[in-house]
Amino acid sequence: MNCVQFQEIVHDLARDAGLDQSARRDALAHADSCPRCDELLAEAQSLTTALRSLAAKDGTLGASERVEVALIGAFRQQSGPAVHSNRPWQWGLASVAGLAALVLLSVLVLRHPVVSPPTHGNGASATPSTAAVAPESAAVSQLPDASVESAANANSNFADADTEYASAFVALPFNGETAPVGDEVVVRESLSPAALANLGLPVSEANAGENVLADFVVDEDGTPRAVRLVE
Amino acid sequence: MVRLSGHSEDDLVRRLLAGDEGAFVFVYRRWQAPIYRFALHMSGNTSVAEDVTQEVFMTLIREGGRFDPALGSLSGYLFGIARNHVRKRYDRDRFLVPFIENSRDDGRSNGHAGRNGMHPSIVVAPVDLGRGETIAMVRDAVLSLPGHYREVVVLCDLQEMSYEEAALVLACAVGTVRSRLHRARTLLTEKLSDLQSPESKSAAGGMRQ
Repeated sequence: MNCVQFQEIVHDLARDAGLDQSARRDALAHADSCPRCDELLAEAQSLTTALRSLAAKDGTLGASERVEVALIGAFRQQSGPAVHSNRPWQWGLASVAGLAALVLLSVLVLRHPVVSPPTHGNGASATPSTAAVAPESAAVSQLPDASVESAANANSNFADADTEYASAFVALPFNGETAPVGDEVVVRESLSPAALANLGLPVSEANAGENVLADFVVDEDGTPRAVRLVE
Repeated sequence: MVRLSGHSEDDLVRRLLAGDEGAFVFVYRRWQAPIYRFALHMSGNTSVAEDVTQEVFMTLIREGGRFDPALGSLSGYLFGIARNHVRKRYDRDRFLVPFIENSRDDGRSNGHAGRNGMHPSIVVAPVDLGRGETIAMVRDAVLSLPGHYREVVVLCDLQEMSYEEAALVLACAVGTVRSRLHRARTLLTEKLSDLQSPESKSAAGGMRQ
Protein backbone atom coordinates (compact mmCIF):
# COMPACT_ATOMS: atom_id res chain seq x y z
CA MET A 1 0.00 0.00 0.00
CA ASN A 2 1.29 3.47 -0.85
CA CYS A 3 0.44 6.85 0.71
CA VAL A 4 -2.27 7.73 -1.83
CA GLN A 5 -4.04 4.45 -1.24
CA PHE A 6 -3.70 4.90 2.51
CA GLN A 7 -5.21 8.38 2.41
CA GLU A 8 -8.22 7.01 0.57
CA ILE A 9 -9.07 4.61 3.37
CA VAL A 10 -7.71 6.40 6.42
CA HIS A 11 -11.16 7.40 7.66
CA ASP A 12 -12.52 3.89 7.17
CA LEU A 13 -9.59 2.69 9.21
CA ALA A 14 -10.19 5.27 11.92
CA ARG A 15 -13.88 4.42 12.07
CA ASP A 16 -13.18 0.71 11.92
CA ALA A 17 -15.81 0.35 9.22
CA GLY A 18 -15.87 -0.66 5.58
CA LEU A 19 -12.54 -2.51 5.55
CA ASP A 20 -11.89 -6.21 5.61
CA GLN A 21 -9.20 -7.65 7.85
CA SER A 22 -6.66 -7.90 5.05
CA ALA A 23 -6.99 -4.26 3.99
CA ARG A 24 -6.91 -3.13 7.61
CA ARG A 25 -3.72 -5.08 8.25
CA ASP A 26 -2.04 -3.62 5.15
CA ALA A 27 -3.05 -0.09 6.11
CA LEU A 28 -1.72 -0.37 9.66
CA ALA A 29 1.53 -1.79 8.34
CA HIS A 30 1.89 1.20 6.02
CA ALA A 31 1.19 3.66 8.85
CA ASP A 32 3.89 2.04 10.94
CA SER A 33 6.39 2.61 8.17
CA CYS A 34 5.27 6.15 7.15
CA PRO A 35 5.31 8.97 9.76
CA ARG A 36 3.13 11.23 7.62
CA CYS A 37 0.39 8.61 7.20
CA ASP A 38 0.74 7.68 10.86
CA GLU A 39 -0.02 11.30 11.73
CA LEU A 40 -3.01 11.31 9.38
CA LEU A 41 -4.36 8.22 11.07
CA ALA A 42 -3.89 9.78 14.50
CA GLU A 43 -5.86 12.86 13.40
CA ALA A 44 -8.63 10.74 11.94
CA GLN A 45 -8.83 8.67 15.11
CA SER A 46 -8.99 11.80 17.23
CA LEU A 47 -11.87 12.97 15.08
CA THR A 48 -13.64 9.66 15.58
CA THR A 49 -13.17 10.00 19.33
CA ALA A 50 -14.47 13.56 19.33
CA LEU A 51 -17.53 12.66 17.26
CA ARG A 52 -18.31 9.69 19.48
CA SER A 53 -18.04 11.96 22.51
CA LEU A 54 -20.55 14.32 20.94
CA ALA A 55 -22.87 11.42 20.10
CA ALA A 56 -22.56 10.09 23.65
CA LYS A 57 -23.19 13.50 25.20
CA ASP A 58 -26.33 14.02 23.15
CA GLY A 59 -27.33 10.37 23.41
CA THR A 60 -30.11 11.00 25.90
CA LEU A 61 -31.69 13.91 24.05
CA GLY A 62 -35.15 13.55 22.56
CA ALA A 63 -38.27 15.49 21.76
CA SER A 64 -40.22 16.91 24.68
CA GLU A 65 -43.34 15.25 26.02
CA ARG A 66 -45.36 18.03 24.42
CA VAL A 67 -44.59 16.57 21.00
CA GLU A 68 -45.80 13.11 22.00
CA VAL A 69 -49.01 14.53 23.43
CA ALA A 70 -49.64 16.54 20.27
CA LEU A 71 -48.95 13.57 18.05
CA ILE A 72 -51.19 11.21 19.98
CA GLY A 73 -53.95 13.82 19.73
CA ALA A 74 -53.40 14.06 16.00
CA PHE A 75 -53.34 10.28 15.71
CA ARG A 76 -56.68 9.99 17.48
CA GLN A 77 -58.15 12.70 15.31
CA GLN A 78 -56.85 11.00 12.19
CA SER A 79 -58.11 7.59 13.28
CA GLY A 80 -61.50 8.85 14.44
CA PRO A 81 -63.21 9.50 11.10
CA ALA A 82 -62.01 6.16 9.75
CA VAL A 83 -64.11 4.37 12.35
CA HIS A 84 -67.26 6.00 11.01
CA SER A 85 -66.29 6.16 7.37
CA ASN A 86 -68.76 3.40 6.54
CA ARG A 87 -71.66 5.80 7.02
CA PRO A 88 -70.79 8.88 4.98
CA TRP A 89 -74.31 9.04 3.61
CA GLN A 90 -75.63 10.06 7.01
CA TRP A 91 -73.48 13.16 7.05
CA GLY A 92 -74.57 14.03 3.53
CA LEU A 93 -78.21 13.51 4.39
CA ALA A 94 -77.95 15.61 7.53
CA SER A 95 -76.22 18.38 5.60
CA VAL A 96 -78.86 18.43 2.89
CA ALA A 97 -81.68 18.43 5.43
CA GLY A 98 -80.05 21.20 7.40
CA LEU A 99 -79.52 23.30 4.31
CA ALA A 100 -83.11 22.82 3.23
CA ALA A 101 -84.39 23.78 6.67
CA LEU A 102 -82.21 26.84 6.72
CA VAL A 103 -83.40 28.01 3.31
CA LEU A 104 -87.07 27.49 4.14
CA LEU A 105 -86.86 29.19 7.50
CA SER A 106 -84.88 32.06 6.05
CA VAL A 107 -87.54 32.65 3.41
CA LEU A 108 -90.25 32.61 6.04
CA VAL A 109 -88.50 34.99 8.37
CA LEU A 110 -87.54 37.38 5.62
CA ARG A 111 -91.14 37.52 4.44
CA HIS A 112 -92.37 38.21 7.95
CA PRO A 113 -93.29 41.89 7.30
CA VAL A 114 -95.64 40.84 4.50
CA VAL A 115 -97.92 38.98 6.92
CA SER A 116 -99.56 41.82 8.78
CA PRO A 117 -100.96 40.95 12.17
CA PRO A 118 -104.70 41.56 12.60
CA THR A 119 -105.37 45.14 13.57
CA HIS A 120 -108.42 45.86 15.67
CA GLY A 121 -108.30 49.58 15.62
CA ASN A 122 -108.76 50.37 11.95
CA GLY A 123 -111.25 47.59 11.13
CA ALA A 124 -109.03 46.08 8.52
CA SER A 125 -109.55 42.39 8.04
CA ALA A 126 -106.83 39.96 8.92
CA THR A 127 -106.46 38.51 5.51
CA PRO A 128 -103.66 36.00 5.36
CA SER A 129 -101.19 36.66 2.68
CA THR A 130 -99.72 34.11 0.39
CA ALA A 131 -96.91 33.71 2.87
CA ALA A 132 -99.20 31.83 5.22
CA VAL A 133 -98.52 28.17 4.66
CA ALA A 134 -100.76 25.22 5.39
CA PRO A 135 -100.17 24.30 9.01
CA GLU A 136 -100.07 20.55 8.61
CA SER A 137 -97.22 18.64 7.15
CA ALA A 138 -95.98 15.12 6.69
CA ALA A 139 -94.07 15.42 9.91
CA VAL A 140 -97.18 16.27 11.86
CA SER A 141 -99.22 13.56 10.17
CA GLN A 142 -96.77 11.01 11.59
CA LEU A 143 -97.46 12.16 15.09
CA PRO A 144 -99.69 9.98 17.24
CA ASP A 145 -103.00 11.43 18.39
CA ALA A 146 -101.68 12.11 21.83
CA SER A 147 -98.95 14.19 20.37
CA VAL A 148 -101.38 16.17 18.32
CA GLU A 149 -103.43 16.80 21.44
CA SER A 150 -100.30 17.86 23.16
CA ALA A 151 -99.61 20.25 20.37
CA ALA A 152 -103.13 21.56 20.55
CA ASN A 153 -102.83 22.08 24.30
CA ALA A 154 -99.59 23.81 23.74
CA ASN A 155 -101.20 26.05 21.20
CA SER A 156 -103.94 26.95 23.66
CA ASN A 157 -101.33 28.61 25.80
CA PHE A 158 -101.11 31.24 23.11
CA ALA A 159 -104.86 31.81 22.75
CA ASP A 160 -104.48 35.56 22.78
CA ALA A 161 -103.77 35.51 19.08
CA ASP A 162 -106.96 35.87 17.06
CA THR A 163 -105.65 34.01 14.05
CA GLU A 164 -102.70 31.71 13.78
CA TYR A 165 -100.60 31.04 10.72
CA ALA A 166 -97.83 28.54 10.62
CA SER A 167 -95.27 27.35 8.15
CA ALA A 168 -94.87 23.71 7.28
CA PHE A 169 -92.69 21.64 9.53
CA VAL A 170 -89.21 21.26 8.20
CA ALA A 171 -86.86 18.55 9.35
CA LEU A 172 -83.86 19.47 11.43
CA PRO A 173 -80.47 17.86 10.85
CA PHE A 174 -80.35 14.60 12.75
CA ASN A 175 -77.25 12.45 13.16
CA GLY A 176 -78.69 9.62 15.17
CA GLU A 177 -78.65 6.09 13.88
CA THR A 178 -82.29 5.20 14.53
CA ALA A 179 -85.35 6.33 12.69
CA PRO A 180 -88.11 8.20 14.54
CA VAL A 181 -90.19 5.76 16.55
CA GLY A 182 -93.38 7.76 16.76
CA ASP A 183 -93.15 9.05 20.33
CA GLU A 184 -92.69 12.65 19.36
CA VAL A 185 -94.42 15.59 20.98
CA VAL A 186 -94.81 19.13 19.75
CA VAL A 187 -93.49 21.85 21.97
CA ARG A 188 -94.10 25.51 21.35
CA GLU A 189 -91.39 27.96 22.19
CA SER A 190 -91.12 31.68 21.98
CA LEU A 191 -87.79 32.43 20.36
CA SER A 192 -86.00 35.69 20.93
CA PRO A 193 -84.17 37.35 18.03
CA ALA A 194 -80.96 36.16 19.64
CA ALA A 195 -82.21 32.57 19.65
CA LEU A 196 -83.19 32.93 16.00
CA ALA A 197 -79.74 34.16 15.22
CA ASN A 198 -78.22 31.28 17.15
CA LEU A 199 -80.14 28.88 14.93
CA GLY A 200 -78.56 30.57 11.95
CA LEU A 201 -81.76 32.33 10.94
CA PRO A 202 -81.65 35.90 9.71
CA VAL A 203 -83.28 38.49 11.95
CA SER A 204 -84.98 41.19 9.93
CA GLU A 205 -85.55 44.71 11.12
CA ALA A 206 -89.24 43.93 11.42
CA ASN A 207 -88.77 41.15 13.94
CA ALA A 208 -85.64 42.40 15.61
CA GLY A 209 -87.51 43.62 18.66
CA GLU A 210 -90.02 40.82 19.17
CA ASN A 211 -90.06 37.12 19.89
CA VAL A 212 -91.15 34.61 17.29
CA LEU A 213 -93.24 31.55 18.07
CA ALA A 214 -92.01 28.19 16.86
CA ASP A 215 -93.30 24.62 17.21
CA PHE A 216 -90.69 21.91 17.64
CA VAL A 217 -91.36 18.22 17.08
CA VAL A 218 -89.31 16.67 19.86
CA ASP A 219 -88.27 13.04 20.34
CA GLU A 220 -88.85 11.29 23.63
CA ASP A 221 -85.17 11.79 24.33
CA GLY A 222 -85.50 15.53 23.75
CA THR A 223 -84.00 15.64 20.28
CA PRO A 224 -85.76 18.23 18.10
CA ARG A 225 -86.62 16.69 14.74
CA ALA A 226 -88.62 19.40 12.97
CA VAL A 227 -89.60 23.00 13.42
CA ARG A 228 -92.17 25.41 12.11
CA LEU A 229 -92.67 29.09 12.69
CA VAL A 230 -96.00 30.26 13.97
CA GLU A 231 -97.61 33.63 13.72
CA MET B 1 -50.26 -1.44 26.07
CA VAL B 2 -50.03 -4.43 23.80
CA ARG B 3 -46.57 -5.95 23.70
CA LEU B 4 -45.25 -5.00 20.28
CA SER B 5 -41.52 -5.46 20.43
CA GLY B 6 -41.75 -8.79 18.61
CA HIS B 7 -43.70 -7.41 15.67
CA SER B 8 -42.14 -6.67 12.31
CA GLU B 9 -41.86 -3.07 11.18
CA ASP B 10 -44.33 -3.75 8.40
CA ASP B 11 -46.81 -5.12 10.90
CA LEU B 12 -46.33 -2.13 13.19
CA VAL B 13 -47.02 0.30 10.37
CA ARG B 14 -50.08 -1.69 9.30
CA ARG B 15 -51.37 -1.61 12.84
CA LEU B 16 -50.88 2.09 13.32
CA LEU B 17 -52.48 2.85 9.98
CA ALA B 18 -55.45 0.77 11.11
CA GLY B 19 -55.78 3.04 14.14
CA ASP B 20 -53.85 1.02 16.73
CA GLU B 21 -52.66 3.74 19.09
CA GLY B 22 -50.40 1.32 20.95
CA ALA B 23 -48.51 0.59 17.75
CA PHE B 24 -48.11 4.29 17.04
CA VAL B 25 -46.84 5.03 20.53
CA PHE B 26 -44.42 2.11 20.29
CA VAL B 27 -43.03 3.34 16.97
CA TYR B 28 -42.82 6.92 18.22
CA ARG B 29 -40.99 6.03 21.43
CA ARG B 30 -38.63 3.74 19.58
CA TRP B 31 -37.52 6.29 16.99
CA GLN B 32 -38.32 9.79 18.21
CA ALA B 33 -35.00 10.34 19.97
CA PRO B 34 -32.76 9.36 17.02
CA ILE B 35 -34.90 11.47 14.69
CA TYR B 36 -34.76 14.40 17.10
CA ARG B 37 -30.97 14.15 17.42
CA PHE B 38 -30.56 13.90 13.66
CA ALA B 39 -32.57 17.10 13.22
CA LEU B 40 -30.71 18.76 16.09
CA HIS B 41 -27.27 17.92 14.71
CA MET B 42 -28.35 19.04 11.25
CA SER B 43 -29.90 22.32 12.36
CA GLY B 44 -28.24 23.17 15.67
CA ASN B 45 -31.61 24.36 16.89
CA THR B 46 -33.79 22.56 19.43
CA SER B 47 -37.01 24.20 18.20
CA VAL B 48 -36.33 23.07 14.65
CA ALA B 49 -35.50 19.59 15.94
CA GLU B 50 -38.83 19.39 17.77
CA ASP B 51 -40.76 20.67 14.77
CA VAL B 52 -39.05 18.23 12.45
CA THR B 53 -39.68 15.33 14.82
CA GLN B 54 -43.34 16.23 14.98
CA GLU B 55 -43.57 16.59 11.20
CA VAL B 56 -41.91 13.22 10.64
CA PHE B 57 -44.47 11.38 12.71
CA MET B 58 -47.34 13.43 11.34
CA THR B 59 -46.21 12.29 7.91
CA LEU B 60 -46.14 8.72 9.18
CA ILE B 61 -49.72 9.09 10.42
CA ARG B 62 -50.93 10.60 7.16
CA GLU B 63 -48.83 8.79 4.60
CA GLY B 64 -47.47 5.73 6.37
CA GLY B 65 -48.99 3.59 3.62
CA ARG B 66 -46.08 4.64 1.44
CA PHE B 67 -43.64 2.72 3.61
CA ASP B 68 -42.44 -0.35 1.73
CA PRO B 69 -40.36 -2.76 3.82
CA ALA B 70 -38.90 -4.18 0.62
CA LEU B 71 -37.18 -0.85 -0.02
CA GLY B 72 -35.61 -0.42 3.40
CA SER B 73 -36.12 -0.26 7.12
CA LEU B 74 -38.67 1.87 8.93
CA SER B 75 -35.88 3.88 10.53
CA GLY B 76 -34.47 4.61 7.07
CA TYR B 77 -37.92 5.71 5.93
CA LEU B 78 -38.30 8.01 8.96
CA PHE B 79 -34.81 9.47 8.60
CA GLY B 80 -35.53 10.11 4.93
CA ILE B 81 -38.63 12.10 5.88
CA ALA B 82 -36.66 13.94 8.55
CA ARG B 83 -33.97 14.84 6.05
CA ASN B 84 -36.56 16.30 3.67
CA HIS B 85 -38.14 18.35 6.44
CA VAL B 86 -34.77 19.65 7.62
CA ARG B 87 -33.90 20.73 4.09
CA LYS B 88 -37.28 22.40 3.64
CA ARG B 89 -36.87 24.16 6.93
CA TYR B 90 -33.40 25.29 6.00
CA ASP B 91 -34.56 26.60 2.62
CA ARG B 92 -37.37 28.48 4.34
CA ASP B 93 -35.43 29.95 7.23
CA ARG B 94 -31.95 30.55 5.94
CA PHE B 95 -32.64 34.15 5.05
CA LEU B 96 -34.38 34.84 8.33
CA VAL B 97 -32.34 33.38 11.17
CA PRO B 98 -28.82 32.14 11.70
CA PHE B 99 -28.68 28.40 11.22
CA ILE B 100 -26.28 27.85 14.10
CA GLU B 101 -27.90 28.26 17.47
CA ASN B 102 -24.92 27.80 19.75
CA SER B 103 -22.49 30.14 18.07
CA ARG B 104 -19.99 31.53 20.47
CA ASP B 105 -18.95 35.12 20.36
CA ASP B 106 -16.09 35.05 22.80
CA GLY B 107 -13.82 37.47 21.07
CA ARG B 108 -11.79 34.84 19.31
CA SER B 109 -13.79 35.08 16.11
CA ASN B 110 -12.59 37.61 13.57
CA GLY B 111 -16.04 37.96 12.06
CA HIS B 112 -15.11 36.33 8.79
CA ALA B 113 -15.32 32.83 7.54
CA GLY B 114 -12.34 30.82 8.59
CA ARG B 115 -10.33 28.56 6.40
CA ASN B 116 -12.32 26.19 4.25
CA GLY B 117 -15.24 28.59 4.56
CA MET B 118 -16.11 27.46 8.05
CA HIS B 119 -18.48 29.38 10.24
CA PRO B 120 -16.92 32.41 11.94
CA SER B 121 -17.66 30.96 15.35
CA ILE B 122 -15.39 27.98 14.62
CA VAL B 123 -12.01 29.25 15.62
CA VAL B 124 -8.70 27.78 16.52
CA ALA B 125 -8.25 27.24 20.23
CA PRO B 126 -5.06 28.79 21.51
CA VAL B 127 -4.83 26.55 24.53
CA ASP B 128 -5.82 23.07 25.62
CA LEU B 129 -9.55 22.76 25.99
CA GLY B 130 -11.68 20.89 28.46
CA ARG B 131 -13.78 17.99 27.24
CA GLY B 132 -17.04 19.94 27.30
CA GLU B 133 -15.54 22.77 25.33
CA THR B 134 -14.08 20.35 22.82
CA ILE B 135 -17.48 18.78 22.30
CA ALA B 136 -18.96 22.21 21.72
CA MET B 137 -16.27 22.90 19.14
CA VAL B 138 -16.97 19.61 17.42
CA ARG B 139 -20.68 20.39 17.37
CA ASP B 140 -20.06 23.76 15.76
CA ALA B 141 -17.59 22.29 13.32
CA VAL B 142 -20.20 19.74 12.18
CA LEU B 143 -22.76 22.51 11.81
CA SER B 144 -20.34 24.52 9.71
CA LEU B 145 -20.07 21.79 7.08
CA PRO B 146 -22.00 22.10 3.83
CA GLY B 147 -25.31 20.26 4.11
CA HIS B 148 -24.44 17.24 1.96
CA TYR B 149 -21.28 16.65 3.99
CA ARG B 150 -22.96 17.36 7.29
CA GLU B 151 -25.68 14.78 6.75
CA VAL B 152 -23.24 11.93 6.09
CA VAL B 153 -21.29 12.80 9.24
CA VAL B 154 -24.48 12.96 11.27
CA LEU B 155 -25.81 9.69 9.88
CA CYS B 156 -22.60 7.65 9.82
CA ASP B 157 -20.64 9.03 12.75
CA LEU B 158 -23.25 10.41 15.13
CA GLN B 159 -26.09 7.99 14.36
CA GLU B 160 -23.64 5.16 13.67
CA MET B 161 -25.37 4.03 10.50
CA SER B 162 -23.61 1.79 8.00
CA TYR B 163 -22.84 3.15 4.56
CA GLU B 164 -25.68 1.08 3.17
CA GLU B 165 -28.22 2.46 5.64
CA ALA B 166 -27.09 6.02 5.04
CA ALA B 167 -27.29 5.48 1.29
CA LEU B 168 -30.94 4.44 1.64
CA VAL B 169 -31.76 7.53 3.69
CA LEU B 170 -29.96 9.83 1.28
CA ALA B 171 -31.19 8.01 -1.82
CA CYS B 172 -27.72 7.79 -3.29
CA ALA B 173 -25.08 5.16 -3.96
CA VAL B 174 -22.98 3.63 -1.20
CA GLY B 175 -19.87 4.90 -2.95
CA THR B 176 -21.25 8.44 -2.82
CA VAL B 177 -21.78 8.17 0.92
CA ARG B 178 -18.27 6.88 1.37
CA SER B 179 -16.63 9.59 -0.70
CA ARG B 180 -18.71 12.35 0.92
CA LEU B 181 -17.87 11.07 4.35
CA HIS B 182 -14.20 10.96 3.49
CA ARG B 183 -14.31 14.56 2.29
CA ALA B 184 -16.40 15.72 5.24
CA ARG B 185 -14.07 14.14 7.77
CA THR B 186 -11.07 15.66 6.05
CA LEU B 187 -12.71 19.08 6.40
CA LEU B 188 -13.52 18.40 10.05
CA THR B 189 -10.00 17.25 10.75
CA GLU B 190 -8.63 20.46 9.30
CA LYS B 191 -11.04 22.52 11.38
CA LEU B 192 -10.30 20.69 14.59
CA SER B 193 -6.67 19.69 14.24
CA ASP B 194 -5.41 22.69 16.18
CA LEU B 195 -7.79 21.87 19.04
CA GLN B 196 -6.22 18.52 19.81
CA SER B 197 -3.99 18.33 22.78
CA PRO B 198 -0.78 16.25 22.64
CA GLU B 199 -2.36 13.80 25.09
CA SER B 200 -5.34 13.12 22.89
CA LYS B 201 -3.12 12.70 19.87
CA SER B 202 -0.98 10.15 21.63
CA ALA B 203 -4.07 8.43 22.99
CA ALA B 204 -5.50 8.22 19.51
CA GLY B 205 -2.26 6.77 18.27
CA GLY B 206 -2.56 4.02 20.83
CA MET B 207 -5.97 3.00 19.52
CA ARG B 208 -4.53 1.27 16.52
CA GLN B 209 -3.73 -1.94 18.28
